Amino acid sequence: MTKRFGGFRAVDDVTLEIGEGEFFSLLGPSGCGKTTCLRMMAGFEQPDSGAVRLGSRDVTGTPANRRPVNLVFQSYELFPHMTVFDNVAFGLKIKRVGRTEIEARVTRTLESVTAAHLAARYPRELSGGQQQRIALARALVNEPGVLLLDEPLSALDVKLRKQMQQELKQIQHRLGTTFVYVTHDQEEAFVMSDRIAVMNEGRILQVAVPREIYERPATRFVADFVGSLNVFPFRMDERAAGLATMLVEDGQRIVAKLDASGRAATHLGVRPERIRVQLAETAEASATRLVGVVESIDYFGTSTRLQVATAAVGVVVCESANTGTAVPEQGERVSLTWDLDAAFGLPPEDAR
Amino acid sequence: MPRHLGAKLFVAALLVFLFAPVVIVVMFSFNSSAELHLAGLSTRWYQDVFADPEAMQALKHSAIAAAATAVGALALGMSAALALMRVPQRLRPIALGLSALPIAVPGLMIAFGLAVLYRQLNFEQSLGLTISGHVLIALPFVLLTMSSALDRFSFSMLEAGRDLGASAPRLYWSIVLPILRPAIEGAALLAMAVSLDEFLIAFFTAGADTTLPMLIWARVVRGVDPSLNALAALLLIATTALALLAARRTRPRW
Repeated sequence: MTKRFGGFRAVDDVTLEIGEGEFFSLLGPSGCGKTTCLRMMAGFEQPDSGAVRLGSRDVTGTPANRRPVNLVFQSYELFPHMTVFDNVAFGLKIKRVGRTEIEARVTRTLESVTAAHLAARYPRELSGGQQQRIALARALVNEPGVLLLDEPLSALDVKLRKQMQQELKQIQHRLGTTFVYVTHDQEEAFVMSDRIAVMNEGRILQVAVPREIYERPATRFVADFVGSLNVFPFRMDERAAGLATMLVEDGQRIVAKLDASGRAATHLGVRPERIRVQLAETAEASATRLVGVVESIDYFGTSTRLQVATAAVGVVVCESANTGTAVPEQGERVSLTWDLDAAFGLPPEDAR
Repeated sequence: MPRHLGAKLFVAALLVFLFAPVVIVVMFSFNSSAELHLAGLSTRWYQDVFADPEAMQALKHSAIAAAATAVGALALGMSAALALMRVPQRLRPIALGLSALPIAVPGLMIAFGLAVLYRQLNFEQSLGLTISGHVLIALPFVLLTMSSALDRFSFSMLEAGRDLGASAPRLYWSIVLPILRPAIEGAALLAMAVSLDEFLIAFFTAGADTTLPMLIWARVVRGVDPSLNALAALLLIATTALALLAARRTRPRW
């Protein structure tokens, strides 16, 4: 699909295949085109080129009100003049479902989002979290083929957001409905999704399971967007047994795997939490080992982040979980090391 | 000395000054005597009014003017409010301020201006001309009411409705109209209240089509007639009832 707004390509030749029953997330910064993708799936926007297919059926020309998909809006958009019950019943009434069946389905759906006791209330009498549940119920009651969710948790506070993430995941599991979830929060996408598509500037950069996105990001943007990152330029000095080694002064070295075609990457990415910081200089000779001086220490509670200045690759950010072991102090000399599979190859800065 | 006694007395005096004429008019409209002293309770002046063909004619004119003003001002005001939604947010207060000008311009100027204009155009004085003037002065009230209602209206809600399967007419009947109805009704009631007690424009344009305020004025000029009190009381009740109802309608219930 491609979608332009004026001269701006909001969605630029995007192809996505989402499996039935999958929890699929579109992840990216604001303005990356993820919401436009979702709105094309919902039928609120028409692609300038391309098609939207649902199973074997082409729904590109089908208006939003005749597509068997439902959307949960970021701002919920509950109808203020209707009770919770009537809000949830709205879609069924339009489909002329019988009264007793409406009653049964609305009640069942409200129960599934633990909101049955709110049926007689008006939206203004609900908290944000409750409104969120009703918005979800109002969509789910129609048993849509695909449920689209546009940052539905962004208005909630952190604690409630985490709780709702768990609930959404459970509801999706129980119903087996395909969920397409738009978010800019990588943690939210990681927690809930079966697969994630990372988008930027209207394009899809990578589609993969959460673990692969985080540990084997395809581009620098993806690597950077989903977490903290150290990037080092890499130069192959030695090569042996599928490994490339970059030799740095006095016995320090960086070791990396060669890629599938036997080439070494020009840049390496390493996540801060994968770097081990040791006081003693005791690392074995064949593995990666850098030496530096602790420049600053940030204490986060669950972890501690160190900025270590090295002569070889500049400042390296390391984050270690607080497990009770001693933490180096500022100004101390430390050695840094990481496992082979902690490092991933990245294209040079300007490549996408 | 109790705190703020002076201020309280001042407020009390002000309220008496404001409401005394109203109270006196209503009181004397139920007075059984034709003299300016209170005797027994009676509805004779009201019976007089209802038996008076001239008063009934004026009442009819006023009612027609009020209804027509409501329809006209609503049609124009709603269109204007919708158009205003397209004006950039930054310029909206200016546009609203300009459209509210009829409130600020002295009524006498508007009335006189209209009279001169219609004279130039060779229009014969009639209730129709009065109604056009009433639409003019009621328009700002409708516009302000409707644009504040539209400001609160979430247009994404229409997408939510469409997503749930609603067709365009269904969206209109089930979502747009119920949500905007209190504002529409409130605006109509306000327009009627504005028209009902308007005197100057009517005086300058209605000609022989006497409205209620014109009739009251004409009779005051002739001398004090106790049935005037009843007429005035009727006008008072009608306009306050409309204004109160309007205030209730425009406050959202949900």
